[in-house]
Order: sequence, then structure tokens, then C-alpha cells
Amino acid sequence: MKGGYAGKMLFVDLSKGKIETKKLTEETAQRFVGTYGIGARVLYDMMKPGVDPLGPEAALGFVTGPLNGTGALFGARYAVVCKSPVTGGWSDANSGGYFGPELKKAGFDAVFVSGSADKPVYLYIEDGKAEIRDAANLWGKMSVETLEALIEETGEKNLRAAVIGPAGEKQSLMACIINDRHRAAGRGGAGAVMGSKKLKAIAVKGTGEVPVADPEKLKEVNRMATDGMKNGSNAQTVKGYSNYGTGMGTSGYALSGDSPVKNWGGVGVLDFGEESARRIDSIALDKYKKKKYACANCALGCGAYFQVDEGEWPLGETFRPEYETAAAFGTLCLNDNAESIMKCNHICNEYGLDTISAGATVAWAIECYENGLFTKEETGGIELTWGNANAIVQITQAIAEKTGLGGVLALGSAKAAEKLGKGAEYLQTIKGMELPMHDPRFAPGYTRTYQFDPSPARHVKGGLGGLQARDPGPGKYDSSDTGAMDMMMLGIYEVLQASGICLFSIFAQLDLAPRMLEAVTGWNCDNEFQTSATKRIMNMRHAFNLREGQKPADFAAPRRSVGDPPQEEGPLAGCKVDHKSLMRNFFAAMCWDEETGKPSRESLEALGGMDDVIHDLYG
Amino acid sequence: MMSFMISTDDLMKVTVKLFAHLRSIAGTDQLRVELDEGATVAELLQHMSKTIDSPALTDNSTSAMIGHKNAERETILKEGDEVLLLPIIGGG
Repeated sequence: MKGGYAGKMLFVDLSKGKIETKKLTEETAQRFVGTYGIGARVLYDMMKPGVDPLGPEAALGFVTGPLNGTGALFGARYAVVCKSPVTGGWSDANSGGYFGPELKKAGFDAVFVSGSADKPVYLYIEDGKAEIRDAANLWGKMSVETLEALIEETGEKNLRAAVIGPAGEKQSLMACIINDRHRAAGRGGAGAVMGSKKLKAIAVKGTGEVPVADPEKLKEVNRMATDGMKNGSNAQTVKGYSNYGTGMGTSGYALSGDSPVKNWGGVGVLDFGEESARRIDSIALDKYKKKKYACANCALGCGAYFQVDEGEWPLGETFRPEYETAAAFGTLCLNDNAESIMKCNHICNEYGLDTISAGATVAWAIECYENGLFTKEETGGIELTWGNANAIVQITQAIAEKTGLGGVLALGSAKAAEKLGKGAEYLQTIKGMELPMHDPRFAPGYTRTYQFDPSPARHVKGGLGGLQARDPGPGKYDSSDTGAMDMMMLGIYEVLQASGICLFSIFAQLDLAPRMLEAVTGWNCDNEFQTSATKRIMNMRHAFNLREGQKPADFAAPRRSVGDPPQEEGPLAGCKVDHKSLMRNFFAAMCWDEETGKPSRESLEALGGMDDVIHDLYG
Repeated sequence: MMSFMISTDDLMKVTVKLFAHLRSIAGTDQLRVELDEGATVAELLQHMSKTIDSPALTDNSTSAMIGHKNAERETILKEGDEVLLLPIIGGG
């Protein structure tokens, strides 16, 4: 391969203590590109259907993209892939920071972990070598403490590590994987899978160089990207995100209807209000900013370190909450206490919890409490009412520590409702996953993405939602002919994310990923390449779910999220989502059967590289 | 607080509330704007774009809300209206 890949993947069996290196072929790389594309291809081979996602037969992958470590701007994202213990199906979650590029520089495109250790371990990787090490002294530590202890133990100041906190160790189903102190592969419960293997961390030191096929061309594309960020139509957005992060939009989203409110049952402008909305956006929180943070090779830098020394929750150094976090613990819970949101964010980062599922589960629990399904005795004395900042912090802490009611809520809202035998009527989940913080009643296309991306309920996955959110006109509610545009947007996202660059690269240039891929790999990444890769990656992930026996009907959207019935007041009054048309159009474009979800045999044969999938589906 | 003052008898005043980067660029979260009677939301945005340099005012990516309801670009403004301008960026 001319560039972009180390050409090697690491396979670690923790049950046997065995480490093996396998070649990544150019054919596989070209077909599945990277991150969750290659991840899906490999996991489909490694895993049998029906295995316990928290058992030793399950595998967990950390997969880079070809742009990681190459100097390509925005090229910091890697993906964690597994069978989700929440959905029982495919799950991918991606994260930025420095871990992905470091892994590539250490000589590996991916690490796949199977089996389960009999005592806590961590994997240490350094420049082409890997070893399993004892992690007894790390077990029980918070995420940042874990990284610091690893740095001290290895003596490597610039060590990069993907770790779990105590929530992952205790196999909370909303546990995430944290790298570089506060970047999270958040959704789907990958932290629980890592915890089930007693794998506390993967620590990496890499000093190698990642080959680039055409360095001059990459420089030129980077220059175009920089120019796009500075002078393009999104220049002010870029500047705003650079200054305030994703939370810059929180107040506006809360009022416009983009953010769900009061466990998806409220109206932002009426139930939350302008003053409350302004209190929780990151412009209001800017007084806490200590310094900016940027992932590897990012010229935008949407992160920030905060310093909070006063108030009810003096956290010391912490990290700026993202929009999704502010909305989940804020508007969704009718909570306008910004300091409490920072505290919840801090708890989630330290214990290693997905802030979206955690905040959404708290909102669900509040609605249950408000409607008499939970008593004060059950909550351990916590007055779990709307907007009660102290209660929200207390229950989040209980979830993190798995104490009292928190021990059940740590399963996530859907499994908690199942275990407790109540509250199902208030669930806002798809296949057990809590919906993220963009409302399909505001941008209907989100529904199709939430339902039928193979990783359900993800706001970062491809589709029409992001495009429609920026369109204030009523035309977006006409879903009669959405297939082609839905596929076009899906294609942009799939190629971009499989390449390992950040979604915010679209602020610089919409087709940045294929241009960078061409420069780095030397391939011709024309429209045909992009369309084939998109369909192949989508079908590979989808096939994982089909093999688990999952059907389209299993992915029903919660009624509130599609306006059934529509809201009577506010900016979204009367808005209904035509989710059936959105599904039908998308399934037709993907050649998927509406009832079984099966892709047509012909469409899979045309893509290539999926003979085993065809055999599994058609014999 | 900024205002756009044109002194004639046929002007109406509306309050504009700004969010996200529009707020940063304008340097305030609220403006009082004087416009001809019968002006629309589109004309308000056009008028504001003369002094606030932001594509969010003209590229159709910003939601406008009046009285807790979405306003179209063609919506006719009234004296005393409070207009919320909500740029949608995406991301999380």
C-alpha cells in the first residue's frame, strides 16, 4: 500500500494470553476504507451470531482510519466496534484526541481483543510490539487517574491510552471508553464490553511515520481546507466552535425545537424558556475556560479545559461539556443549573459513562418519579423532580457508582424499565438505545438515521437530519422523495468517518475526505468508489444485525420523537414525521427488503467482498 | 444595545434576540430595530446584514421565532414584536 495504512492488525486473545499480528490487505482496505468499515468486516469474521456481548466469545475492536497520523487535517478519529450489550446488535462509536494516530504510528491499523482475562490487565503497545500487562494497581481508578498512573508506570510522558473507568469495570451498559483524558467513544456500551474482558486500558507509544502516497497533494488539500475554514461560508461557525465548542448552539437549539425537552414531552420555548436556555450554553460558561484543547491535526479545536474552583461543585480542572451533554442533563431534565451540568459531565468522564444515555436515563427516571412510578424510598430519598439540579447530580453519581436505584439505572433506561417492570411508556429509545439530542420533529431525516443506521440512535451518522436542521422552511416535512438525497448525505458521512476524519471537516469542505484519501492512499476515490464504499460499509454493519436475527420492525421510533401525536404549542406545533416514507425511500435506495431488511442478492454481488454475507443470507 | 435608527413617522420597532455566533458577532444578545411598517422577517434580516456581517442572516440557515412560533421569511412583522434568531449549526 502506498500510504495511509500500517498494513498490520493486532489480534489479542485475553483468555489464552495470545497476541497475533495479521496483514491488512490492500483489497480489504480499498473495499472497507477504515474505522468501522474495516471493523465490521473483521468482527463479522471473528464473531458468531448469538454470543453474549459481555462474554469471552465477543470481540472488541479499536480501528484507525487511513487519514490518522498522516498529517491530514481533522484526521484524529478512530472507532471502537463491538456487539452492543444494549441493542444486541452492531455498535460503533468514534472518538478524537490522539489515540488513533498514535496507534497507527505504533505500526497497527487496528487492535481486536477477544477472550477475557482472569484478572485485570492492560495492553501495552510500542512501535510494532505488544504485551499484556498486569493492571491490578489500575483497577478501580478513574479515567484520568488511570492515564496518569500509566504514564508514571511506563515513564512515557506522551503516552496515549484508551481506558475504562469504574463504570466500565462494573459493566454499566452505558459505560464508554475514554482516551486522552476526556475524549469518549461514548455510545453503545463498549466500556462494558472492555470491562467484561477485564481490560482496563490499551496504552500506546508510537514513533513511526505513516506513509503518504502524495505528500505534496496532501499539503495542497490541507491548504484548501484551511482556506475553507477561514474564508468559506462556514468561517463564522468555525470561529464560534473554536471559541465556545459545540455548546455554543445549546440555547438556540433549546428554543428552536432542535433539542428535545422534558424527556421529549416538552416545548423548549414554553417549558424551559429563554433565560434558562441562555444559562446553559457554553457562551455563558466561557468564564470557566482555562485553555483550549484540540485533537491531533485539528485546526478548529472545539474542546476546552475548564477550571471550576467555587460554587456548590468545585471540580478543579474539568472539561467543557459538549452540546449533547448540556442538552441531556439540561433541557431534557428541565435543568438550567450550568454548574450541575458540569458536575454531571465530570462524573461521566471520570467514571466512564456515555453522557447522552446517562442524561437521557435520568430524564426518564424523573418522568417516572413525577408520575408516581418511583417512590422517594426507591430513589433513596432523592427528590427526582424536573429541574432539581441537586437530585440530578445525586442520581448521576448513584448511576456511576451503581448504588441504590442507580444500580438499576446503570443498565440504561430500557433495561431498567424491563427489570423494574415499569416506566416503559416513558422510554425514548430505539432498540434500547436512548435517542440523542436532535429532534426529528425539527429535522425529520434524523428519524431514518436513528432507526436504520446499524448503530441505532446516533446523531453523528449519515442522513438528511443535519441538512434539514439548517433549513427553516416547511418543505423538509415532505418526505415523498427522500431516497437519493438521503443516500448522498449518507455517502459523505460514511466515507468521511471511515477515513478517520472529524465530521466538522465539512465546515471546511464537503468533499474533503475523498480528496485527502486520494492524496494519502494514491487511489482514485471518484464518485463510483465513494458510492460503492458507502454501500459496502453500510451493508456490512447491517449484515451483522441481520445475522443476529434483528428485523426492521425491531427499530421502531418512540412516538413522541415522530410527532405522534404532534405537539399542540411552540415552534413544532403540528409537526409530524413521515417516518414510513423516509424508511421506504431509503430501503429502496439501499435495495433492502422492508420486512426482512435483507439487501438484495444482486446488490451485494455487485459490491464484492461480501460472499460470506451472501451465503449467510441466501445460502 | 444597538439600534438602527431611521427617523420617520412610519417606522415600527421590533426587538431582536440573538443566539450562538450571531450573538458573538453582534457583541450583544439583544437589538432594537426600526423598520418600515409591513416589513417582513426577510427584510429585517436584510436590514440587519448591513451592519452585522454574518452569512447566518442571509443564507437561510437561521430559524426565526415570534411569539413562541416559527416565523417564515415572508411573515409580516408588527410593532413590538420580539424576534428570536436561532442559527442552527449542528454537531455535538
